[in-house]
Amino acid sequence: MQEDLRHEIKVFIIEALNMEDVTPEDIGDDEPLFGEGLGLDSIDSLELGVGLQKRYGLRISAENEETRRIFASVRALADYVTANRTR
Amino acid sequence: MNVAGPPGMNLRGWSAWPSSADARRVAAPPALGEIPPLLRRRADRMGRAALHALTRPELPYTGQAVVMCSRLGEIGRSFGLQKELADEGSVSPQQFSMSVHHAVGGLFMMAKKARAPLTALAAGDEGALAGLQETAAQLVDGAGSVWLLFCEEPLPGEYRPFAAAPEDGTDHYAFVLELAAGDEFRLAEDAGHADPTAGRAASPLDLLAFLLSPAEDAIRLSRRGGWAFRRTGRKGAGA
Repeated sequence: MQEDLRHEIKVFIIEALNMEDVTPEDIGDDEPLFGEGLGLDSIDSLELGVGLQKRYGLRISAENEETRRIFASVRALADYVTANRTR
Repeated sequence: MNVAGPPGMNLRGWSAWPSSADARRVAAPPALGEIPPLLRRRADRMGRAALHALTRPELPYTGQAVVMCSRLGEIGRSFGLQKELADEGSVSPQQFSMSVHHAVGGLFMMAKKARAPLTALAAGDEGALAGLQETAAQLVDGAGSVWLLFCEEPLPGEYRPFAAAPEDGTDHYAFVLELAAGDEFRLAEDAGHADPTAGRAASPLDLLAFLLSPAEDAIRLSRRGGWAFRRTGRKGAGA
């Protein structure tokens, strides 16, 4: 089930961020999303924050110390969604 | 007061998307192999047209200042943001970050890792004049050559009834002129149009047509007279 959610989150990232040429298979479960790895930037993190709120009812504060950990990888994000989703 | 006139200019080269008038109706946006995927994903259709024209092999970029001139910019994106704000009360950060007028030029500079000056202008129906004036100013200031980019996209349907210029509603396009100091063309006072009220200013596409058709001597750049662009040398248009 977590695997399904991880796949769903990969598709969500690709669509939300217009990542043409990238497929879900290209994104590793433990690959860093920002900087090295997928190469996302701070605007992407805002975009994902807004999208996650709409989709899963999550509230992720930009000030939150946890945020860096939540966005570390698809696996970390999926675990956070599972524990905190309201929809 | 002793004021030197605006400098003459040569057209060193140009590039455009679509590449010919016949191809103006093209369904697919251009491929942008020269722009990294993480940057080009941020560009909409007009942005893609502009980035395409900016990265043609026939016009190699060597660090020139870029003057970007667009009447409305990526108006489809701006309108989408307004609708999103009205419907949902929040906007996409990614879309918002790209909604400034110079954003597309910024993507180009980032892709080229260039630190050259980038100027973005929105000058109503006198865009051709504003772009040439800014270019002339930069040449006077010592620039070896300047890239003058014009790009536009159609108005969203809801805005069409308010279109002020005939080309507003047509299709998206982009073209780049590389201009250097020289004596082929000159910004000049438009003594032939003394009537301060009548007339229409040349659009960017009129300017391109003028540059490429040696038969014409001058075009009128300002709505109320005042400025023209004159052919003053014999050299053909561009290499």
